[in-house]
Amino acid sequence: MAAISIRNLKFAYEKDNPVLDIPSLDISSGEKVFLFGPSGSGKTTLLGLMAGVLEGSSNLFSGDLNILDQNLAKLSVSQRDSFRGLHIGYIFQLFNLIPYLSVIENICLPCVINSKRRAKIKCDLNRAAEDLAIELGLKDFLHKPVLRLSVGQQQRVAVARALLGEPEILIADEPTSALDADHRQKFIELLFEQASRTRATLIFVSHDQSLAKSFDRNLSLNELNRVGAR
Amino acid sequence: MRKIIFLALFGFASVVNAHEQKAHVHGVAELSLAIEDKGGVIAFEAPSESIYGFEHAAKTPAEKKARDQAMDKLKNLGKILAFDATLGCKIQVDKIDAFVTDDDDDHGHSSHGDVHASFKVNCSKPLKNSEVSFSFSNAFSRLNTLKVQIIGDDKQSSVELKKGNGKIKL
Amino acid sequence: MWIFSLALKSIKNRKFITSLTILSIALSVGLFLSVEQIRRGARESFSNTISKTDLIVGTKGGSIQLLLYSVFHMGSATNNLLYKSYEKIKANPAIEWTIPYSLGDSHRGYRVVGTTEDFYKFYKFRQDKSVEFESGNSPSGIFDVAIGAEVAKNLNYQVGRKIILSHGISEGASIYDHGDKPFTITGVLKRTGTPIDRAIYITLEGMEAIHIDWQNGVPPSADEMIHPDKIKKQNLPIGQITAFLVRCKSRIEVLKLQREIDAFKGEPLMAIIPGVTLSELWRGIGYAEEALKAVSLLVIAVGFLGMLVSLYTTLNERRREMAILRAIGARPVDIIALLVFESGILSALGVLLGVIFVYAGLFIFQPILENSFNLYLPIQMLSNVELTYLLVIVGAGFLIGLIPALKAYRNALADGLSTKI
Repeated sequence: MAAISIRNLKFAYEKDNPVLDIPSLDISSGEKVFLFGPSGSGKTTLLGLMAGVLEGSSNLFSGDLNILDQNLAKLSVSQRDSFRGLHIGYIFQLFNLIPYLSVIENICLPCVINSKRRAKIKCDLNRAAEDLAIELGLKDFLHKPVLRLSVGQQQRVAVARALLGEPEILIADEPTSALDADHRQKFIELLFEQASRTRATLIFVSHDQSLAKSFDRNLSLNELNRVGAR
Repeated sequence: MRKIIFLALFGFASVVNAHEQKAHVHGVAELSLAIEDKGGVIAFEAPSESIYGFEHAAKTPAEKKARDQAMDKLKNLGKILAFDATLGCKIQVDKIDAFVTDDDDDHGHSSHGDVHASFKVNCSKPLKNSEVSFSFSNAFSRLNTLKVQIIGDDKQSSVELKKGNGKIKL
Repeated sequence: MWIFSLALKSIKNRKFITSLTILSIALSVGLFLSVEQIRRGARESFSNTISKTDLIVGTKGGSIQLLLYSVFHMGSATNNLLYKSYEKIKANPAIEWTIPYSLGDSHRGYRVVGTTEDFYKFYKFRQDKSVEFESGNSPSGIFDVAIGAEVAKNLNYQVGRKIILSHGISEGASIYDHGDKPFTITGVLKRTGTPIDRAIYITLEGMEAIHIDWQNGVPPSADEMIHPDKIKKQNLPIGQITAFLVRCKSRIEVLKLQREIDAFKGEPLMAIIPGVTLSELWRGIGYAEEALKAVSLLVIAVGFLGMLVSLYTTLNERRREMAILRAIGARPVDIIALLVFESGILSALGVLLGVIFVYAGLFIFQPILENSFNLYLPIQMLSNVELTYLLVIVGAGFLIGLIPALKAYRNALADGLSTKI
């Protein structure tokens, strides 16, 4: 099964100013992909489209974008939101957490919002979240306000949140750029470990090519995207 | 503080009294309704100007006609003052004076003229807690306000009806 | 319901600013409700003070003044009427009973009322309640006195104690005391929740007796003074009273009797229907009440404006939060709901706290109002009108949340998953 399949995807924020033009891209299930691109190459736009947050009206969007064999363009707005909530775990570069919730509440939130994702967890939600957090070395922080955590700890909470409920696709948008080299390596190892455990497809985006070596596949957005090549 | 309350109350008191003193205010009529069990009396007072358009004894045939038409409307008070139909009330004219001048007028200028009327009410059921509806504007279009006083055994009140229309609970 | 609990946690997170917002709404709602409560309470307490009285008769003057000094012991009469006139009117066959009042003296700030046995027999308040005695019985001798419950409590007086009345009405010590003619308390009245509690009752003869040897409003010198032992009821003709209450045998007679009294030949008299005069008083005060109500509604609007400002200014810092919520599957309408809930919760809490303020205030100020203004404010449930107002206020709070919510909605759509702040 293909996790992501793109054919002739074209996207623009405004007419006559295309941002993306990707003839073909396939990512198979369980793959760990390193997506490389300098800033301005359309990374964030591509991720937004994959996650179903960006909506192109017909003249700004064309082509096929299939996630888990589902053509996103065929879904309504709220169906896309629900699809994302169920199938995708998303990790930001920084400030991943809702500041007024505790660590455990942050981890549980996607499952609270999406009842189908909640249903995938067989045992008690809090219990599952705690187990996962302990596995990620967050034992001492479970009920702390998130603002007391270091950046590295916050990113680990973000991983736990993205993983809970075992979504099929993990998208990490420059998750290590705020970490120092030592933590960066550890973080990637942890992410791999967890992705392998849940057999999730990992799409890891960065402008830092030094991280590329451990991934199954490296993709350069500049090469994929005909807009960037021009 | 206590003084302020008094001053305020008395301030209002004098304001209210200013137009309460046996008022002869054009456009304002007063109607008192006293009820006891199944009966009642109605007293009505209004400046003649507000009832038939002029304030002197009717002289010309046109004036007499206007006055008599207005008095006919008063005689049929039941058409503009309706008790609850289930009470079976009958309104009877006691006395109607088309033009009463105020002898006590010490302002020097020509005296005011009022219409005075009184009625008797007899019903087959007690009037207490029933509703009376007024539609005076149909008959007396010059009327701006009808001040209604209700005098009952355990309820006394005064209500101002705009244009003489509205409902009052007894 | 996750949005609701998220909204609650978000509010809790910004404790300082949200508690200020809630407090400002609470204070404005409290102000609004107090105006309503005092208005309703004052009306009820006033109209509960006198029942079954068809007419109050006094000398010609302001009808509201007559009502206030005779029934509510506020202000004072300018003229007395002749006892002869009273007796003449009393003889009218349409009349069932009368209660004469002779006013003008006081004891330590409490009004002294000269009256007869008829007061204890006929006076009605709160529809059909009569005056009753807590201890002792009604004054019968010239120098006997019965006191209201509040007087007894505040001055710690019991039956048997001798007190000295003062000439005129004053709060503290008066210039002229009737020190030569002490009175003995023979009865203490039961609490009524009306101005009766704050009055002192003597006989009409007693009122005459303390002024018997006065000349031109000045107390007698020592040698002109008449000793109380020499004063006997039978040689005490009553010259004047201040006002009297009338009950007709039938309501049908009231209007006719009122006209007759207004046209009384002996002296200029006036008869008022207490309930009607009260209605007129309320109508006069009504404009001020409406103005006060408008002001308090404006204050509520200001409270809401404060809430709007505080929600709106945080929106920029919260763009990040909205992007996270979107990323984990929240719909744009969830973002709207979150902010609408936040402002709704704030207004509901504000209204709730406002209601608590009002009842706490009523509990604290009720005795003070009663003591200082003769105003007995009953502590009662919110009326339907008030409840409707409160619901509308909470509803308005939700609606106001739509303004920042729509802004956040637009932000969220524009930002998507953008990590820029």
